[in-house]
Amino acid sequence: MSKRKQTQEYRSYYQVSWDILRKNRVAMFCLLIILMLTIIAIFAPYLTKYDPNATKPRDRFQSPNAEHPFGTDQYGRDILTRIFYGCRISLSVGIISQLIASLLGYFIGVCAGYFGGRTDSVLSFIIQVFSSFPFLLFSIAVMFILGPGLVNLYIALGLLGWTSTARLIRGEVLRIKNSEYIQACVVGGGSPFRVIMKHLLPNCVPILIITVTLGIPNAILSEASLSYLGLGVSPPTASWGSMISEAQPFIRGYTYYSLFPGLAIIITVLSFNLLGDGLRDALDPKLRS
Amino acid sequence: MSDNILQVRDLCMSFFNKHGELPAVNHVSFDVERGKTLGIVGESGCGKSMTSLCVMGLYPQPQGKIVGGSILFQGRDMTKLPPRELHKIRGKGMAMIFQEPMTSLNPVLTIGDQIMETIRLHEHVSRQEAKRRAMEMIAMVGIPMPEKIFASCPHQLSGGMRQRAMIAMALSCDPELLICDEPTTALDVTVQSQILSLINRLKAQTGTSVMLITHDMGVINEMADTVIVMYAGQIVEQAATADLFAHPTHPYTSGLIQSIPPLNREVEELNVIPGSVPMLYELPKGCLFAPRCPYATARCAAERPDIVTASEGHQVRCFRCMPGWEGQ
Amino acid sequence: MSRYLLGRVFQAVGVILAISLITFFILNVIPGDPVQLMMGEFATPEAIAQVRAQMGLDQPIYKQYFGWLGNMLRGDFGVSYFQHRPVLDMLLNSFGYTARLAVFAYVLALVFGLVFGILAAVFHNKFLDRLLMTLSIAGVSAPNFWVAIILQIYFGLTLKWFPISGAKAFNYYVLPAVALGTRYAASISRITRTSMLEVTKQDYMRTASAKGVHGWMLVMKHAFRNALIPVVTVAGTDLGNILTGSMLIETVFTIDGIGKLMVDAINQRDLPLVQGGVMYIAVICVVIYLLVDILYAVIDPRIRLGGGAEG
Repeated sequence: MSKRKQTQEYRSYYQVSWDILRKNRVAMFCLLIILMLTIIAIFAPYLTKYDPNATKPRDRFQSPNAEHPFGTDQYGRDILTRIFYGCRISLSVGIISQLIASLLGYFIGVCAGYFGGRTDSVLSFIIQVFSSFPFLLFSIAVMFILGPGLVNLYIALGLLGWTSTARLIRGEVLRIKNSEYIQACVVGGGSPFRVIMKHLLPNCVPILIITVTLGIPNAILSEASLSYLGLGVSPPTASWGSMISEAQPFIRGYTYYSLFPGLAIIITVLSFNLLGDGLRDALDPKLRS
Repeated sequence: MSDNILQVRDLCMSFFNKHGELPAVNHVSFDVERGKTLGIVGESGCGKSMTSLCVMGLYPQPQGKIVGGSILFQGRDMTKLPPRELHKIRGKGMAMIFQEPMTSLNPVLTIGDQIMETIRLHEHVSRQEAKRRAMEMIAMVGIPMPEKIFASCPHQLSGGMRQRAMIAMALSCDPELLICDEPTTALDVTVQSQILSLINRLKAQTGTSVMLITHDMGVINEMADTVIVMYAGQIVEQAATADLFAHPTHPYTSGLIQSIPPLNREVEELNVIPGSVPMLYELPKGCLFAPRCPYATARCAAERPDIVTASEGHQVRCFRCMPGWEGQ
Repeated sequence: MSRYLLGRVFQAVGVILAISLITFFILNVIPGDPVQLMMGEFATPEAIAQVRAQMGLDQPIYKQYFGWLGNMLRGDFGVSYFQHRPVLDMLLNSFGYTARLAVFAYVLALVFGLVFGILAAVFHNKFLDRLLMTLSIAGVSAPNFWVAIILQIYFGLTLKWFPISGAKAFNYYVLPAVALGTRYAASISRITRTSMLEVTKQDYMRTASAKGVHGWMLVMKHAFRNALIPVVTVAGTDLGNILTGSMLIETVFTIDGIGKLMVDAINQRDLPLVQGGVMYIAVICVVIYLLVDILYAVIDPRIRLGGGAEG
């Protein structure tokens, strides 16, 4: 009866998580789609023979055909090509802004949780203020000041999207702060920086993985909304949101144009959401049997 | 019909999961006599709570399934009744109180609401009448200031008070059988004895039968008329309480009795049973208790003993009580 | 209860002040001189200086902030650079449209979100659960302005069931409300399901079954009321998001609500209107969150009645 136990070798937390995730078919399929989207974003110029911004008035408003699988827009630009290039904007905005946001959220959350007292009160109030400010409204205001542009999108969405990460990290730090090994390190003369980097960070990594994965789709949606309102990237750069905005005047005669960029957004956002759900199931030790 | 309010015969309940079929309750038979208390004792994980949940029909579904046997309550087989009939019996014919008074009451409803709900569910009475009876119940379980408690929410009450409220709720429709699943385990020692004597007093007052599940031999000694000792889903010993304490026959029972800390003298070391209850997916091939048994022989490791009558009204599942043991 | 409420009100006032500070300062570092922008290229420097003094823009910035805050408290949100009308009037005029749209969308989101969430939890792991959860994950993943355009194309232009622009009568609001509400119906149904499944595992649910409570009474009276507590938080945040999300939807359907007003103001760089609008919406959101906290206390007696003999 104890043979079963003996044959079970020791497996790390992340190995177990990976095993759980690997068995989640939906999440693995989404991971595959995300990898494909990443390849599309990186190798966009090699995947298409068209220039995303070159206008060809003769080819305008072509319905999907062999030459242009998704058709062309009002300037004769290939829609599929523009969606490929738009993928670059969406993924880079999603990933970079969330890296900024989680870095910020981690340090604010750790400081609030670890130092406690007045630091915690002030930081918690700041967290509350930022999360009371409706996100879209806030990002519109910030983009209004910074002006359209890719870097500005990274900054705006990164500087505004940290509150939920900070709150989760603060809770986690409060939970583990008093555990013996942290106390031992503090008593042994470890500096706060050492404790934060060496002991708290590894414990917070699962939370960070989950918040980044679930933050990316929200950032992508925000980017699309801002671009739709003309506050995202500046034209003629192709972004899924601005493509929908450009397509809107032509919905009466030419519906394909507005359909495809939207589908691209849904597929991307859905994949990240489902992968995030899968990661949460895999990484949350409470759910493990 | 005999004077048994509950007759459980050969009850088998199993869980089905990736390990296959796991017998959580294994051929269990017992009776609860009218107006008497049956104690079920054993370590955690031995199937005593599952047995009681089977009687109520509240075992975890669909993972768990009753695969055999019968539960006759007032002559009707609970395992075969349609859900509609079961709903009518629960709370009215038989009621149950649970281990955790902290989490077993609904946090968003007042104590009064929760007691009245039971009454109005089973008896067609007006709101006023239900309220009057709920107040009466609250007073009966010894809660001071019934009006105040009636309008309170569970989080405002102490653990002992909550357990009293649970008892009031359980007894509000005069059940024939009260199942108490570790009713005092989560409480302070002084509160424990108050609750136990309350259960005894109400049992005498209302004539209800009690099925008491506990891991505490002391509680059994104080409360039960007859006892069954369970181990890994099986009954290993069954006897009248006095008989059991005077002549514990199964090594597991002896172990349980010896591990009660004596009050009257200092002891160097408590007697403990080594090891722990086996998990359901790694049950030993022979006697389930053999790996922990000081008397285990080769035969114990190879085959499972049947339950046999050791003396009048005293049954044991152990080869040592079977003819031919002395010869080995 | 009253102490809890008082604390929350104080906090809300603090948050509003902090938001006003942020709004004012970030919108005042805006590049380009608004007066120059307003008066056009050919204004003389003297005229510009005169207007600056008139508008108080020559004062130190902290004085400008307190002046601006004081004026707002008196109901003076300034005057639009381009339409030369008081900002507050413009906001109040448009708010009716936004409020109607938001309320319709919110009612849709709540009704469908709660019903779908409860059904999914009751039929956990059955076909209905899978179907509803697939729909809702798609719902939270779709950008609402795109949903709006697709609704316009199909129900407006192809089937011709509903008008696709303006807000003249009730039927004008149907498509915008659906477009705006979908995402939040989806998010509410997801949290309702999760919360219901969590509650189903609790001990008091077993107690209720042991009393003989069963069927929908068990689901609604015992499970749902407890499950509602986390749902209220999400649903409250969603009301704030619906108000801001209506910016996009109003733009798609050309409804003259606050959202469209703001988007137009941003495109014209009409600073007082943008500032006033941001503050107006932010204050409404903070008030909504405050109401959510009160609702919380109504649902959860542990907050309403304060801590008792815990432990």
